[in-house]
Amino acid sequence: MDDLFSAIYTEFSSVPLSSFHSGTSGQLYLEEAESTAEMPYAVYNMVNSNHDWTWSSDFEETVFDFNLFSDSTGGATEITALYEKMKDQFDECNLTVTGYESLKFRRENAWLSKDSNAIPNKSIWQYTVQYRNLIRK
Amino acid sequence: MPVTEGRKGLVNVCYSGTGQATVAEMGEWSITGMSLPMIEYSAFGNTVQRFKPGIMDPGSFTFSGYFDGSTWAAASNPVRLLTCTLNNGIPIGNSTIAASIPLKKLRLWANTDSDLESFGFWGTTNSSGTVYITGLEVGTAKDGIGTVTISGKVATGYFEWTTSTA
Repeated sequence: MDDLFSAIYTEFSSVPLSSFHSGTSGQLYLEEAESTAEMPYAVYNMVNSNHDWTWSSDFEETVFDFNLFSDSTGGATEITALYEKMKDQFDECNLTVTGYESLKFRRENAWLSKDSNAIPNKSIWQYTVQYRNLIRK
Repeated sequence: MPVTEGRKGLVNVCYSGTGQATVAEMGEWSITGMSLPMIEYSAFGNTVQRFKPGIMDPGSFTFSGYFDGSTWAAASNPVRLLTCTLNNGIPIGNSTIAASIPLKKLRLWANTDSDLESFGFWGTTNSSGTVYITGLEVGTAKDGIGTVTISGKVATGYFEWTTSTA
């Protein structure tokens, strides 16, 4: 599973750098952002993983959440633009996972929320985007 | 207890000669319809019905899984060869072998692990058994993996269990 986490970050930081990479200033974190991170940034985490198989292959189907954060005072413009950039990079991308063949990386759900109480006098926009990944070896 | 655990199943084909190949990405097989019909021969005066065995139906088989077209061009691709036997009406067996479709045996493994007591497969009787491929179903759904189901009928002989790889 470590290889799968690495593959996501490798895709994120692949050269030439994507507009999503520049939009987050290269800040994509696993599970938890660094305390020094400045918005906008992104955090991804694994929701669940299922193992399936045939008599000649093993499959791992994994659901990931990507959470995009923005504290822009300009409304939802920044967070929605970041969402579009993320779709451009990750929708149906072909992850390079060591030892596996990548079959799909599919966006399934997304929802936008706004927290007006997290920081005094500021709102935090959060876009949660869910992807389903399928790999085979 | 020597029961079988499905994780170690397999479908493979044997070529004329010594080669054999796994039918890739399969995950399920079944043999159905092996039956012995009973024929009534009751006569006037009998107080209960009387039966004699008729002729055995050796049954049918099906196996299914995901469709793997990655080696379709290879002459020895098992699914391709099985499809050819269907298209040409050629049996898989010892007695009738087409040079271009050299399938000799079909084996439905219950367990490929020789360390377990249930190690073995179901296959047609070696001396005269033949099977025909009678059905092919393939499909793809936009959110799934392409599937294939192959079915067939035992034409001569019958399926029997063996623990030998010969």
